[in-house]
Amino acid sequence: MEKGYIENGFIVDLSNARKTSEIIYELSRILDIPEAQNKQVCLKLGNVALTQTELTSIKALVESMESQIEFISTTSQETIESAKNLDIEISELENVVEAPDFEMEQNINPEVETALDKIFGDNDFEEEPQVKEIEQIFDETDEDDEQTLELKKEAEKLPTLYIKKTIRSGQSIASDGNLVIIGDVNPGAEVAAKGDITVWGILGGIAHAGKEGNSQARIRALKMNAIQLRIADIFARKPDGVNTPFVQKTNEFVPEEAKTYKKNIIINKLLEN
Amino acid sequence: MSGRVIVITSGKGGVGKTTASANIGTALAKAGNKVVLIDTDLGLRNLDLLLGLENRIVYTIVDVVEERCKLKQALVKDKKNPNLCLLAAAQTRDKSAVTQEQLKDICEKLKKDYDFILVDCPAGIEQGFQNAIAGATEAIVVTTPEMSAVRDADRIIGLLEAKEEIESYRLLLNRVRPNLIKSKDMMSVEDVVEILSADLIGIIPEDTGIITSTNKGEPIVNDEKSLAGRAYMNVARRIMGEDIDFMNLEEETSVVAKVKKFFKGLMGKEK
Repeated sequence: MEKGYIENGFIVDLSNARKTSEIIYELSRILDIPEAQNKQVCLKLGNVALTQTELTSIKALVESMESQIEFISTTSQETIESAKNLDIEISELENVVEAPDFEMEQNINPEVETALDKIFGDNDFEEEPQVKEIEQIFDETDEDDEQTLELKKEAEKLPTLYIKKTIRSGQSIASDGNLVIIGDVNPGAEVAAKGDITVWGILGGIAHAGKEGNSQARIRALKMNAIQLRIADIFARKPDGVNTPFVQKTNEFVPEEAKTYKKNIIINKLLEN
Repeated sequence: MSGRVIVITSGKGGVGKTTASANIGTALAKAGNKVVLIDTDLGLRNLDLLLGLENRIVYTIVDVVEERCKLKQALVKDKKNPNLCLLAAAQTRDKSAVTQEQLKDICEKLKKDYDFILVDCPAGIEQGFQNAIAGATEAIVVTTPEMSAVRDADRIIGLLEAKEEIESYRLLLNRVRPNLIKSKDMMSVEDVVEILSADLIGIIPEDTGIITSTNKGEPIVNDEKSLAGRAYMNVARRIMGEDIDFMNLEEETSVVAKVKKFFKGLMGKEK
């Protein structure tokens, strides 16, 4: 590889960053620009020491924007080690080639900084960032191939089973099309559908959308508290140690939607915009 | 290896069968045994909740008998103890989904790889009970010092004695309150043993910690300070054949003991 030259790509200079949170913040800001997406990215990381977990998150962030890390440059030995473990190429480009100018925003929004610091720790040593907060990094802009588009539309063509009652423990509802439930699905109940599942209430049991293999099926609920979510053959369970109150408050609903993202299930809040 | 299959039953509901199963199973596993817990309460399963494994269940015992998965795939490993696993009941089916022969067959298969197979029995004496005892050779009868529970335990013991395969049964007296026994408001341990004329395997004191532990999905034996937890640990050791004296609950729960313990704690800190 020629030093400093990338085909269909660009260099992001983050060598001024002092800690992980700054890197993540800058990177997400830069990658948000439409022109930056779908490109090869080279990261100049300076001397911030990144653990493997952190570097994985950075990689996931870049990939969520449909871009790829071509290689990184760093002066930190720890980052080099992490990169080796993750099969990320390392270049000696440091200080050899001038990076194109991306102005570094020195004043990070304090709110964002504390949030990111919470995830990554001030001194970069926090292991296992919390899954919930990382989820927000995922982006909606993935482009679909034809097959995926077809699958996405499938749910619209299916008939819908409409049920207006609370599904209690031990009951199971299965639909050959979509499934709409006006009411709660209590823990111990199971709902399954060939297409999408929508619960106008609290989803507390097990939901299986796209049970015949449609990985683009979705599960929506006013409150997502499911023991397990399954979409096609992908499976997710409620994290251990999440202490949900015995009674769910009913005045704080934020509708949520579960879908698949690269063989995982992610949950997004459905806000007004 | 040929493991022991022990059914945990009571006749009456709500006396603590499932709590006993979860705690004895965990205690046996902590002592280094390989343990499987089987929940046979189809349609009203709880054992998974007590162990905090609800979110991990993909296949149940019904999936195993209907051959949708292999037996090994349906065994859910405990979070903390790799020696312990759970074969969960199906929540959306009823007791008729599994037959006695099928349960016997499962127990026979598990015997080869595990030291203990504990079967958590549903309340009642109908099909669910008959299924649960089908594969067992030993039984633990759980009861509380109440007339109704003792009466039902008596009925159960009669049924167990009529079944040839059950070689032995022992009594687990649950929710004992020494201060009530002292004031003669509760049947004493001796009374219950005399009425039922059966050997004791353990006496478990009433402990509010059980409620918290159930809600948290964390068996109380993991809390070595709790009295009930220690009592369950002793039960497990007696099952393994050790000869351990029964705790003197009256002493352990009396005010004097609590004060003593408190001061011991203080002294410990100063040192």
